[in-house]
Formats: sequence, C-alpha cells, structure tokens
Amino acid sequence: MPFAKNNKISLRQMQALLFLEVLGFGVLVAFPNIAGRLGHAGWVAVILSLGVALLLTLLMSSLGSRFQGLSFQEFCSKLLGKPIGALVCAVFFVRLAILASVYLNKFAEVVKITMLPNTPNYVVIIAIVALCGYGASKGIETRGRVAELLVLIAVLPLVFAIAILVRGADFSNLLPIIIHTNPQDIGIATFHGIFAFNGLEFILLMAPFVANPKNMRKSAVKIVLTMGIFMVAITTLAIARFGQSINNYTNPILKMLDTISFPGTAVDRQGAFIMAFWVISAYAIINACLFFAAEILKDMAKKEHNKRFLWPCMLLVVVLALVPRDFYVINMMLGVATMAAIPFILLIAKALRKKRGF
Amino acid sequence: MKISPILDENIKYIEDLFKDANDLVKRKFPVDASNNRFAYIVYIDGMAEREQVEANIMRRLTAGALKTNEGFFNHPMSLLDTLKEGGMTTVDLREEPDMSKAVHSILCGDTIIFADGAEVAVMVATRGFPNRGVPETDIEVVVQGSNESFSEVLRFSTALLRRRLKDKHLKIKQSIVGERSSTDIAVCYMADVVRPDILAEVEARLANISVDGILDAGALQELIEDDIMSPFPKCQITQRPDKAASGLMEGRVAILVDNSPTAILVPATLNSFFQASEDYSQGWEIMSLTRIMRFIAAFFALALPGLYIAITTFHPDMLPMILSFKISAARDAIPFPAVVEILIMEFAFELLREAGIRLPRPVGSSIGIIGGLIVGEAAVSAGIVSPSVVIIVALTGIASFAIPNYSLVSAFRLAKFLILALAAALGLFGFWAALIIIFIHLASLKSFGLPYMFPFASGEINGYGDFKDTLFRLPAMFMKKRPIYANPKEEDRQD
Repeated sequence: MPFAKNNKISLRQMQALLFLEVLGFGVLVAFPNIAGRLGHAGWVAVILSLGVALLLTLLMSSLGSRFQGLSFQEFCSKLLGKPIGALVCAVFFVRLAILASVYLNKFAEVVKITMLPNTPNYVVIIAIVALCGYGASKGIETRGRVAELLVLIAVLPLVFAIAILVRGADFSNLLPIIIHTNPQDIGIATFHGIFAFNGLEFILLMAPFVANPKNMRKSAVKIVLTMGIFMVAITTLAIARFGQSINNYTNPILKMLDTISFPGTAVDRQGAFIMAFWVISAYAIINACLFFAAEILKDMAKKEHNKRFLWPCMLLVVVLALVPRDFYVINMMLGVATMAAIPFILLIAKALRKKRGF
Repeated sequence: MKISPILDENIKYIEDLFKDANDLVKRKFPVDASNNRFAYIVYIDGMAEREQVEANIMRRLTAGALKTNEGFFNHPMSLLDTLKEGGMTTVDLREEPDMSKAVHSILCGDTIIFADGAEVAVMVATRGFPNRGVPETDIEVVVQGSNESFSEVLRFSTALLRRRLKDKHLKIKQSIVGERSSTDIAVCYMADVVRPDILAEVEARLANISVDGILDAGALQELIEDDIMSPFPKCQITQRPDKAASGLMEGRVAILVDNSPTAILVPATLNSFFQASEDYSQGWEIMSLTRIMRFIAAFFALALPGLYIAITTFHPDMLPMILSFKISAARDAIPFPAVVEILIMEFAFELLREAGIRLPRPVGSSIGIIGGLIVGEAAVSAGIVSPSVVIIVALTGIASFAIPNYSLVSAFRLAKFLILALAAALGLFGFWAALIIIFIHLASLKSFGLPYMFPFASGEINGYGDFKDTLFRLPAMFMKKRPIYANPKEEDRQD
C-alpha cells in the first residue's frame, strides 16, 4: 500500500510535537519559579536559559541523528552495556512519569482556578490522562499528525494574547536589569530557566522515529529558538505588566492571561479562550510522557506493541498526580540527568567507541 | 459445469433451475426438421428487450433455417459462425461453454441459445430492463454546471464517464460481487495516472468480498473501506459523473455498482469532502470564499451546541454582560438544564430531517415549515426551550447543509453529541478535550493507505502542493501538478 504505516514522523511533525510538548510546561510551571527568584529581571534569565537550551538541543539532536535505526533502549545498551543501558532507561521512565504528574497537577490547578472551581481535581486529572492515553495508543504517526493540526490552534490564542497584552505593558518595568540584581541570582534563575524547556529530552526519545534523522539537528534548533522567542515574549510582557509586584503573584503568567479583555466583542473574557492552549499543551506533554514511557517498557520487555504498557503508565501518572506532594525538585534533579548528564555521557561513550573503532 | 451437446439435458437443467420462475421465456424450435434437430432459446421477460429478441434473433433464425437445405445447424462451422451465417444482426454475441456463466447471463438480461450437438451456448446481449434514463442529481446540486447523475443502469453510468473522458487510458474492469445478487460492478481508472499500488489494493479488497448480496454502492463501500468502526467516510460517494471523471483524472479509482446511481471514489481525504464540482466552474475568488465558509460551517455543525453549553453553563462571564443577561432571562422560565434543552431540540431536528426524507416531496417541504416555524415557536411559547437554543440548533442544522457531502454531515451529526456530552460535563475544558479526541481520531484514519487528514497533516508527502485546493481554491493555472492520488510519474496535468 502507498504511504504505508512505517512508524515514522517527518521533521516538521517532530517540530510540531516538540513545540507543543515543551512550551506549555515552560509557561505554566517553570516561569513562576524564575519570577519568584529574580523578579523583574527574570527575562534576562529566560534569554540566558534559551542559550543553554539551544546547546542542549544541539547535543541531543546530534546524538539522535546517530541512532541509525536503533531504539533509545538499544542505543543506550549498545553504548553503555546492558545493565547501565537499562538503568538509563529506568531513569528516563521515572522522569517521564514525574514530569507528567507535575504538569498534570499544575494543569488541574489551572483548570480549577480558571474554569471549573467546583469540579474535583481528580476528575480533571483522570479525564486528561484518559485523553492522552487514547492519543498515545494511536502510535507515533498519529501523534505527529495531531501535533501538526493542533499547533496552529495552540499558537493562535497565544499570539492573540501577546498582541492584546502588549497594549497594557509598561516596558520601563524591565529596567534596571543588573544594577539591583545579584549575578549569582541571575545564575540560579538561569538554571531554573532551563527547566522552562522541560521536555527537551523528547528530542532524544523521538529520534528513532524521525524519518530523516540526519537533518534533525537544524530542525530541532529552529523550533527551540522559536519556542524561546515565545517564552521571552511572554516573560517580558508579564514583567512589563506587573513590574516589581510580580513576586506577589503565585503564577503571574496565569494572572496576566486571565486579565485579557477586549471589550466590545462578542466574547468579553478572552482569557478563557487561552484554555485551548492549556488543554492542547497538557495533552501534548502528558501524551508524550505516556507514549515514551510505554515505549521504554515495551523495548525493555522486547515486545512489539506498546499498548499493553500504556495502562500501567496511565495509572502511575494519575496516582503520582494525586499524591499530595510537590515533585518539582525531584523533577528538576531528574531533568538535569535526562536533559544534560545522560546525553553528555552518551556523547562521550559514542566518541570513545568511535575512537576505539567500534 | 460444462454445457452438454445433448439439448434435452440442457433444457432440463435450465427448467429445473428456473422452476416457478414465471418470467422466464423459453422456446424449443426446430432448426433442421429433417434431421430432427432443435434449438432452445431462453431469456427473462422484462430483463431483455423482447423486440430485439423477436426481430433480430427469432425471425432471423427461423428464416435462416428455412433457407438451408442441409439443415441450419448442420454446418461444419462453429455454432457462433453458423448463427452469424444464419443472418443474426446483433454484434454483441459470443459462445459460452460454461453453464453457470450462461445462467448468469440469462439473469442479467441476455438471451441464450442452446442447440443440438453444440457444446457451447450462444449468448446474445439483449439487456434492456426498465430504467429511468439519466436522472438529475438530487444530493449534489450545483447552480452552474451539469446536474446529470449516474444511472441505476451500470452501462449508462460507464457511458457517462466515457462521454467525459474520451481517453484510451480509461479502463473499465467489470466483475461480479455477491453470491446471490451477482451484482455487476465496474472498477474505473486511468491506467497511466492511477497509482498501481492503490489499484492493486482496491482490486484485492473487492476480490476478498464474500457476501450474499450487494444492492447498493453504500453496501459495497462498507465492505472495502478502512477502519469500519469510524463514522467518518473513508470512501467518497458521488452521484455526479463529472466529479467521478475529475477524480479519475486525479488518479483516483471509481467503483460503479449496478442498480446504484452513485460511484465510490477512492482514496478519499477529509479535504476531498469539502470540494464540490461547482468549485471549478466558477471564479476562484468566490469559490475560495465559499470553501472557507464550508469549513466554518463544518465547525458550527460539529461544535456550536457544545460551545453554547460550555459557555452558558460553565463560563457565562465570558459573554458580554447584556448578552449574558438576555440569555439567562430567556432561560428563567425553562424547567430543564441547557443541555436537556439542546437535546430536545436536536431530537426534534433529527425527527424533522428524517420525516422530510421519507415523506413525498410536496409534503416534505411543508414538514420543514411546520416543524421549523410552528413547532419551534410553540416550544418557545410553551416555555419548553429558550429562543437562544432554537437559534443554536437551527444554525447548526443550516451549517450542516452547507457541507457538500452527506456522509460527512452524518459523521458530524454523531461527533456533535460527543462534544455536547463532554462540554456539558466539563465546560470549555471538556469542549477542547472532545475536539482533541476528534482530531486524534481523524488523524489516525487512513483511506487506502493515504492519511485522512492530508494535506492538513502529512502535507509534505506531496511537497505541500495539495494545499492549493483546500481552504482556498487557487486558479487552475497554479495547479499544474496532480494531487497526491496520482502516480508520481504522471504528476503533471498542465504544460
């Protein structure tokens, strides 16, 4: 049959997936931390962290382009040996479960605040996990196509929001940049800013499914740069809007988006339409976590299909999301491992093997 | 089973087979009385053209028999040649050695002649059953352009295609489907433009069908389409020969089914259901606007009731204050929640739709007026539903009629209830979640291997060229390449 199911995605689909998977976490979860640490100079941290994110993207996409038809688990086992390879996969699995639960938790909070104040959190959590599980069960090709379709729907309200928010922004709030800010604080905030790009490790996990992995480096860098521009724009607008008082808000981005109003139109509170972005980004990131977690289990169990592993992954994510404990720090530590340490180790191992002629 | 050289054995077989079939016309007549040799002619009344049988076969045969001294069927030539010699003027006749095929031909309206000593029967094409000629399409009407429709008679339908595509590459492969119905079907394609793998897939799926009967193209569609559990159509049904011809030139395959005035076009993408024949016979500017309107209409048909429920029930603060007050004031005396109101009206609308189809045409239109105006008005006055709900349901219904494909509208009618249910339970969050579920479902579908959401997703397969005929319909001069359906070796359609 033409266009047969080949379990591959195009570079454009990879970009769409990455965009949706990474941007939501940055805006919803990571930014409040940056703002809390650096206040009005937070935008500097976001720009610096964008630079670091681009380096990590280069690192992971370079590695990804060398998979040569191997799955992530096979690639790790080949480079590091089976036991360490399995350990690396286990770390990734835990990271995916925690990342999904952290986002899920925050997302349920946002829904409660903005949309459904009387609905218990667990209803929203179960609903979104069911939705994401359904998406993940359809495989990587469908995920890629859905991302292509959803990326516009997600971006439009965001662009619309930015366009409206520019009107009420006081950009003098961005100054002074460094004078009152300790460089050490900027460093720490930058470190936290890198987690605005949580999910960058999907580049590594996605690589075995990319139809043309040799060209994925350029595509990955382009899309991370685009995301970075969005994040800088949103961060800058939030700081310009709230100034020194930004630290008074638990989540200034949410507060800012909720205030969007464009009187005279048929819909009075456009902030509610931003819900489209939240739901889509929640779908994208949790769907990705479930899909790759099930893929890791499938590869480790040496099975052909990941569907049977999806249910336990869904259950685990729901349970973790409902546990009354903040996994943010654990998530950050695991993020350091999966976004930087492990890729770096894999790169060194690859270089050493090449040197030894393996 | 082979045809016997002993005529009486063949007669017995036929008469046993057609016992109690009073529409069977048969006659045993002498062709060489001196040698006591006979022939036997058989056909079904109403399926064959009696005039043709009498004038071109019987009269000629009996006259020919009288002319020959040695006996008409006593020639050393084949039976077919002998009949021709005997003066039969019909062009379309052939020898048939297989009894089951001869029987099938009788059932299809052909006339069969058996003769003493002949191990073959002669099949004369005399099909001439009652038909209504070339009708006008009633579900794909256009303002400008032909309104001809395919016919229930397969041969008329193939002729309508041939008339539009006088190209030697147009192939019409006929076969039979259905154990009992023995329905003739024709697979039509342009041999040089079609993708060989798609054609092979179509033929393989048709060959795998083993059912009692196929009485309509819709029944065949269900047996060959991908992912049968999905309500969305993966094959495009059209009544219009011009649309089918255009599909063939794009490299698609058309399947015609005898007794059905429609063609099945495969593969089909969601986008193809938004394209109407008229789009190419009027200016590209106005048709682009119309296309955009159709997509907006599709969104309304799918999502408007859900969006209304989500906003009025969960997020009324999104609406301007005056509008919000007006809606709640109108809903004040209504004893049901908004979702029940919508369901009542949707149910009434579906009833009206169904009744409008079943009733005779002159009465059908008045049902719309009675239903829409009188019942709607009465329901509002009685305080059962609010005026805004009537508006929403009416808008949804009107929007669904703007989509040019009925099968797609039916799928949207079902999907609408999913959105309605989730929006009623979880507000805007449920609304967006339902839309994402529908997107996932649509993105997972394929039609004969082609992604259903092409070119909106996976557009790069054909270099994004197919976008020229999606939301916008660009002028013909910009569409130099054929769409994705075509064989890449024949992708150019303009110099």
